[in-house]
Amino acid sequence: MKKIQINLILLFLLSTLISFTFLACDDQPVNHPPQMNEEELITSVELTFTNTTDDSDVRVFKFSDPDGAGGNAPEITDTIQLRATSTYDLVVRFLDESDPSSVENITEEVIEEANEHRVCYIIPGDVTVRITDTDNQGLDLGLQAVVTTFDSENTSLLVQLKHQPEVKDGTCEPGETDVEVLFQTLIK
Amino acid sequence: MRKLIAMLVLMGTGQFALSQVTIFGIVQDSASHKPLPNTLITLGNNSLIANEKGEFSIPNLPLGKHTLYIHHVGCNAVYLDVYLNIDTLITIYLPHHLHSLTEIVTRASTHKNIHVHLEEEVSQKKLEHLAAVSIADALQDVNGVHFLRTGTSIAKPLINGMHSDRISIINDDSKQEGQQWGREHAPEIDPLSAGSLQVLKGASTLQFGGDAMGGVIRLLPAIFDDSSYHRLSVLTKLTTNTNGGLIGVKYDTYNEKRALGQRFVVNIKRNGDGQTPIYTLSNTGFHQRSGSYYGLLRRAKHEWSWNASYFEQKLGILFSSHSSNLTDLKKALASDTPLIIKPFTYTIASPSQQIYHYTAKLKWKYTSNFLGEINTSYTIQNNQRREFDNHRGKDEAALDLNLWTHQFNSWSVKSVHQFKLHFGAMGEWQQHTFQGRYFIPNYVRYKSGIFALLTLYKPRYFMEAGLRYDNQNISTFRYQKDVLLNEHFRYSGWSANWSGWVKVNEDIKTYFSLATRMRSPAINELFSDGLHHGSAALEFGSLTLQKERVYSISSAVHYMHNRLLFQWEPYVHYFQNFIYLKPSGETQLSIRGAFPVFNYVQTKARFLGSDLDVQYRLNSHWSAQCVASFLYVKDIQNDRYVYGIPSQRIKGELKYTIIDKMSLRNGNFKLGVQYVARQDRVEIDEDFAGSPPSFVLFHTEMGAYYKNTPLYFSTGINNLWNTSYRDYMNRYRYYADDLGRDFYITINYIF
Repeated sequence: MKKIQINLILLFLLSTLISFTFLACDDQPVNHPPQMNEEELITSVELTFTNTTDDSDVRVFKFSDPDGAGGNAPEITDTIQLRATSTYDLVVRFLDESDPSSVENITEEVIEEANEHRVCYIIPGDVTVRITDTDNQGLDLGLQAVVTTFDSENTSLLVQLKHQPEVKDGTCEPGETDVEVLFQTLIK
Repeated sequence: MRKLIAMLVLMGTGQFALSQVTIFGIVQDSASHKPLPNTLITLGNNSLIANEKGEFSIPNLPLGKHTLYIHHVGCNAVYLDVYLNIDTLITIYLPHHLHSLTEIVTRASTHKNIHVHLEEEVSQKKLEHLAAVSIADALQDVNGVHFLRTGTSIAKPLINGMHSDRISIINDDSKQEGQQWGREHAPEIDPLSAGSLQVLKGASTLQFGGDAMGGVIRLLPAIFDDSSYHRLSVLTKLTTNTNGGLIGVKYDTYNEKRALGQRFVVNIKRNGDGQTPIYTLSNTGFHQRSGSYYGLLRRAKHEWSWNASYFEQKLGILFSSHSSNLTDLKKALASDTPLIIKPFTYTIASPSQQIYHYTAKLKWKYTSNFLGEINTSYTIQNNQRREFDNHRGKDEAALDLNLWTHQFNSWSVKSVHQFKLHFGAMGEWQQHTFQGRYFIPNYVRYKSGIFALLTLYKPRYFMEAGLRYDNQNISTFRYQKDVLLNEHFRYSGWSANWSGWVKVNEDIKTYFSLATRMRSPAINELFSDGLHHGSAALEFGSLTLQKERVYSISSAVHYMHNRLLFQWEPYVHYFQNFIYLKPSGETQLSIRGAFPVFNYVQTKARFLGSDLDVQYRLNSHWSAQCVASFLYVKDIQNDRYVYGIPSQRIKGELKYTIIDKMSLRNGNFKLGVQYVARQDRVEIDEDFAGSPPSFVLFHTEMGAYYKNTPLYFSTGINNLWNTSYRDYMNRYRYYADDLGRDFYITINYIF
């Protein structure tokens, strides 16, 4: 009886040891940490304005921070310059340029998950932005828009990409902010 | 409010009616904790023999000082002075096995008279009566212990204003190695699995490491009765706020013939969303499952014990507390109510945390006549932490950390006459790996330490002097761009502590502790690099941080006369190279918007504080207590206040002791009030929002045994008037109010 008790204890210790060994199996080796870049990292926002009355008037503005939040300051922070009293078709692209040799177009992922995303434009002053694309629920998506300018002014355009899984209602309120970039904007 | 407290304390002045009390006692062997039956106890004209369990009781004693004469075959007789002003249970440890007769340690569980200032204990009974799910629940009544909270389910203990790495949590003798890196990382402990809980300060804590600058929270294993038995206990708790419940089952068994004790514990807890007086705190649900097995076997001079435990926790993070950037955060701060409020649910959605902690331990104790008591233990721990947010897929953790620790401890205790020599060594290997987002690098850490403690016991004074040397080597692995960096760090240093007490006269006892301690920078203080997700802050560590050193003086005056107990504990800590997260006052631009920048810096800091405890017994049933604490912390190098320090708080409680009334026995009724002042000692540029205003909360509780049965129940109400308030020490204060009124009921039953 005494033997059995001792055996039970040994069995317990052994099983604990074995279960720990199993737990340890899926460990990654300590000297191989994952690379630091995040999946779905967005480093750049690119805005393409095409004048609706003049196809040759194409203007591209960009904000780029290749090393992500923290680290170095953003590399490119363009000022948007548009003609007064004009109408432009706006197309926005989100890029991952953290690795210059393989730039990823995150816009494709946004389109795939259109039901969870919303691009928002906030612009004080006279300029109007009208979103022209929708997701399959009929809610605004915002990757494409029509921008109408009026008088000359010095203003700013805030571009936000909202991630709104299960909470998208067509507005900019819910969800998390994946991108928030303020462009200085000059209308003349 | 302050007037009321003063009233409670002073109400019964002048009522000195003589009442009678009972002393209950247990005599145990100081080494084995085995009961010593047939011990002769004499108190005045009463003489009696302790029963088989070493228990005795002497009823109908007048209040005041009594001298106990304790004599056991093989031990010299011992005299022990006790003050009685309430029914008191004392445990007397006799050094029976050693036949060296001067060491006598007593612990009282119902009265503070006999306890040592440097040690506070929460008994197993108390843990069960509180149905303590977390360390915070278990330590809620210990004066001088505060908590740094994130909502209702995450609480980090704070002693003398210090937390995280400056407080050690010790499982019997080995350090709990969890991931104590963030403010929102709570210790992975189920207090109901422990036998009892201690808060230790002073020289004795050097056994567990030099870095426990604030103190040590120690979980002690269960103690088995001496004769064969099986015992099944069931514990339940239900709460209305959070619609939560706890069920715990504990099975204890002891076989006298084999000298084998075993204990199985399983606890399950589930909570839904918390409720403020006005709205639901969405996504604050909480699940916890834990289990443990503990065994103890004695063979002549050998004692083996083994232990395995499992702990799992899943908890939601308040939706509206998760900010993507400064714009979001400002919007959340500007709003009086959380931006996302949904109907009550038990479901936990992202953002959330999932934590696992596994422990296995083996301990061997050998008692030698010549060398004293020799202890050796080996502990394996695995801690996993997964944090989920909305950025990744639902099943994939954004942050996935895995920590392995192997720890070896060996120490020996030898008593010679009035002296006790205690020395030992520890060695530890720890490995950390991560997947997903970078937070801290992978690393391997080797830690070692040696210590020696010398204790001197005299009837009028007690002294303990200790010295410890700690060393650690860390090797880290991380990528910077595409380059794998392997960096090495080494920290080492001495810690020393001298503490003790002196009995000035029969009523007054004074305590003191002088210490200098060393702490190595924590891995997050070295390596934090970038966005702290969810809290909208950029945090940067510094690889050039030096070890932290503190010089501490603490003392206490303990006065007790008749019905009055007065205890005052002032302390001062002076830090060289105090490490803390300091706001830079700048914001940095990124594609996600702007973020405020915080840096880990070192500075000179001063902690000045005191804890006060006044108790007055109004008559044989009623007593009043007032507890207050005060803390003043300053970065003296930059002349700035330090963030996250509790404001002044004062607590009053009126208690009615139920001895035997309407089928209720051995219980009490309590009515309490707590006042928490506004924290004004803050830097305005440092905090996202101003400190919340002061508040007053009331609570009440009634608990007792039903007749002579082993059924204990308690029922009570927290936040009696459903007051809306925010506590400076709770991170959710930025976004939402704290919990509203809560009714609860707890039932303990032993089969």
